[in-house]
Amino acid sequence: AVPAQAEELRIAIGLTGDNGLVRGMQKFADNVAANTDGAYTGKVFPNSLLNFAEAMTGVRDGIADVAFVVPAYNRAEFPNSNLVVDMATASTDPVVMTGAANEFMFSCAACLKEYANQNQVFLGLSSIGPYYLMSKPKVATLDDFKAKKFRGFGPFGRWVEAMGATPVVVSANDVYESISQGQLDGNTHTMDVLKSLSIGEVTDYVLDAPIGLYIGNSLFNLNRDVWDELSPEQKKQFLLAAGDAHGFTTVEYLAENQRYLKDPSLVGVELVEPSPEVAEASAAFRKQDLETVAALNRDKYQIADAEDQVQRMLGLVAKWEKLVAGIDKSDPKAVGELYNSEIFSKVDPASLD
Amino acid sequence: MDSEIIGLLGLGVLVLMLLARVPIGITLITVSFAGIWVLIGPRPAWGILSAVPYEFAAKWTLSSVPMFLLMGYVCYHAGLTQGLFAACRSWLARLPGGLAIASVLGSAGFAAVTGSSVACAAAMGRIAVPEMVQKRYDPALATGTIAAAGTLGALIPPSILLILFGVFAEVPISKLFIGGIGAGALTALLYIALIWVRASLNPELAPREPVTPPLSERLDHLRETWPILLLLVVVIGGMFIGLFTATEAGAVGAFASIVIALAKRALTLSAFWEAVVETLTTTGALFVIAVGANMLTRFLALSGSGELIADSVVSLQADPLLLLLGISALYLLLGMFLDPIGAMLLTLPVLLPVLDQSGIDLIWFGVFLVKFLEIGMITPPIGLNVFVIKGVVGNMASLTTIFRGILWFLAADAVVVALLIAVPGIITWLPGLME
Amino acid sequence: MTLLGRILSWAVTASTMVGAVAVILMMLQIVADVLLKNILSWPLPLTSIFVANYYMVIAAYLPLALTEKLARHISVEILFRYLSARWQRWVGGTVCLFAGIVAAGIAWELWFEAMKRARAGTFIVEQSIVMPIWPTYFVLPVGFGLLALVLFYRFAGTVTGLAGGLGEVPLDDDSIPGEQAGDSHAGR
Ligand code: NA
Ligand code: NA
Repeated sequence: AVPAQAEELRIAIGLTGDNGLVRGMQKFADNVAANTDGAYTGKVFPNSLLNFAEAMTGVRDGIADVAFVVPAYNRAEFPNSNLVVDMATASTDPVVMTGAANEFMFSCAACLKEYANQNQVFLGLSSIGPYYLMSKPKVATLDDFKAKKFRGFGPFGRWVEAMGATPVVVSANDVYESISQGQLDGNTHTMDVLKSLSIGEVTDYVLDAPIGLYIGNSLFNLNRDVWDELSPEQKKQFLLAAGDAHGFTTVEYLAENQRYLKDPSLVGVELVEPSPEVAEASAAFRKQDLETVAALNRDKYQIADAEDQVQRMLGLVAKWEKLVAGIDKSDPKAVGELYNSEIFSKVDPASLD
Repeated sequence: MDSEIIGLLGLGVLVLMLLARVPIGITLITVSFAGIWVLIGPRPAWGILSAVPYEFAAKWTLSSVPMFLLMGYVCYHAGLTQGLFAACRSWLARLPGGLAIASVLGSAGFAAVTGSSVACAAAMGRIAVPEMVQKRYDPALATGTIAAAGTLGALIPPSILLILFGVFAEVPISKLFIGGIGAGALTALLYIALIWVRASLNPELAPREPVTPPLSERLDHLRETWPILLLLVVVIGGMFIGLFTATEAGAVGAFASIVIALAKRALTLSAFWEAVVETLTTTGALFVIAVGANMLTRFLALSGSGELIADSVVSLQADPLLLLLGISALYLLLGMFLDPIGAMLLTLPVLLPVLDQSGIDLIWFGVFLVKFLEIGMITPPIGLNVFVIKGVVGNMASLTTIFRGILWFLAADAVVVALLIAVPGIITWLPGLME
Repeated sequence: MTLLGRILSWAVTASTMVGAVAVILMMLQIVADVLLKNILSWPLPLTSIFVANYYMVIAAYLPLALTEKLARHISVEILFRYLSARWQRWVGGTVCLFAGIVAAGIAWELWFEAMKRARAGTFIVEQSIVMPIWPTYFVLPVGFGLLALVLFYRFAGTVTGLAGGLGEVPLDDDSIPGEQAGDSHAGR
């Protein structure tokens, strides 16, 4: 046979800078090159080719071959896939959640079909977090929440409300300004935004009460026409490349955030221990919110079996807590191997065609 | 063909199309679309075309563009700034070149309520140039002062150019705004010093007022400045105490200017309509270019020629000072011919990667860049502010006369630019206090 | 030609009106949001969606034709001003035809995108309110389509030398941005 010329895939992410997510995209590129013996390589475009809002249509039209798609930005196109995104409070361990959510997604035919309809192939997701409350004034007791305004969307906004403060939706780019001008008292987000969005410059405290995880990062959505050109063996190898890269991304991102949590002075904040009643209220909310999610998805997004799906996902979270307990979850390689042996190696590539 | 070569060829075609007077926005979109088609095929090319325009415009931060435009146009059409100039004039009349100094201060005041320098030059030109000519000021000095002082419009916040820079470079617009204050104040100060010195050395340029207006009259004039002062208090005060963000300040300012103009009975329906129509046409002209520049960024990224240019520029000029001199020369040249928005949006896709690699502070650079773009507004052969003044004064002064008057201010600008490079704190000190 | 011009002029005026309403509503809603946030601690729901996805999209693209009619699109004047009147007309006409084709192509593509969005029923969720945004995708093909029509009309005018009923500002007009507060606005 004629030796095939290496095809360089355009890999787009709507972020730039040195962080776990951008490195995760590069990891996928490296994995693909290694797994396909160089038949496919990849070049990462950090926020120069597609931004997050354009990623879904961008990979659909082949502007990028692979793109980091956020299904939450396209809820109309991804009603089923967004149910799992809503379950932010099901766990606070990203390593567990990435495993559970991927197992859920690859066995959700309706979800996979949503990707197919957009001319792309789902190759797994990475969950990030947990989200914490970062604030200008010190917040430790339920009283401290009164008459405060914090940024929070979806489940994080509901948490803010449950704790007695007012949730405000402000775009991530406006948070810095809003807090510095006193319009907002704080933000719910991952620890790394203290540095990446400079939020540490305008806040002084982080409440040590993890709220939930962000699950909606479909990192390696692959253009369908590219997928169709792959041989069955290459399809398997792309899946394995993705599984390992999800392990890498989840662990790297978590480690970065843990580092700031361990030494908050790095980003100019102080860690605050929540009062017992705050810890209790937060735990109660996290349980309660899963019922809210089920009701929302059933009533608002017409997913008839939403309750069952939530229960199924909770079962998977319990299963993955056990699986993850058996490995060193700070080792990206071990986590990637677990994802691959449990999920990505078992996915029948034909189910994605 | 190498993709980098396709990218560079695309840039060549772009220049040719611009020279043929194809509108800048259409040029940028066409070249990017065709280039992406050649690089990766028709479907992605159509895909970019269908994704970019909507996603680019549907942004909360960009809403400040039409809002600040509206605020400036309302102030202009309702004549809210006339009182400010009258007050400056009556208080400064006895100074050497007092009227010219008053119009620099008046421009600085109007700059604080408008986002563009053309509006600033037009507003002050209408009021101040006839006044100065009547008082037998040298026409070159009179017109040059207004054209140059107009450039404060985009330097002192609010500023459409700074908003666009913030959006493209992804830096906080509030910091850029605060940074613009230092550069704007320095420019105004040097312009005033220049006028003072020239008028002292050669009193014929600007005959002194024989009498000082009585204190009561001066106080009356001071009272007439309330519309602008109130507007400033509302907008800057509101931002300072945290009632609203820099993005929201445009809407609040536009609303406040309408309320004030109505209270003064200065806003007719047709004046308001003019303000809205100018807001719309300016916004439309601006967005089609911004979308094209946004598409060009993707084309250059895909072709790799953006990186190629950045790498070669950075490796050629490892010294940041040399790099800055090179950039200055580039903008001086572009500014001679191009509209500032076009010049900025045309070059940012190529320039931002260079800046990223060179480690130059982007807040400082944004303001520095706007200073250069504004210098371009008053350099021959195409100086928009100059044309505005020419339109206002009619045959009171020829274009040559106006450019002759401007030469002095360009010398002052050279000093400003040198100071901004030598003492970056002029720009960065105030934004640094925000942290 | 005159009748065509009048119809076009009417369409441009209508689009201007809608644009004007969007700009005014944008101002009022942001101010109301600021007031309510500060007085009642109750931000006006959906403000960011209305401002970004509705008013901004309308204000940015619906006035494209008006901008062309008033000759306010920005181009580079280095060589053009040195051409003879005859050459200016020919170059100007050709550029109008070319720009019109490009604008029509954009409108064509964005029409299909808008139809896709309408079929999907694209929406945004804010504080558990589902807000449809697919209708605003149609603003773009309308804006670029009208722009294309005005450009074709200009081209026809330069080729035939006929004056029309659009009342557009001529291409070689030397009047001044910011000073064009003339009576020709919006075909009044
Ligand atoms: Na200004
Ligand atoms: Na110039």
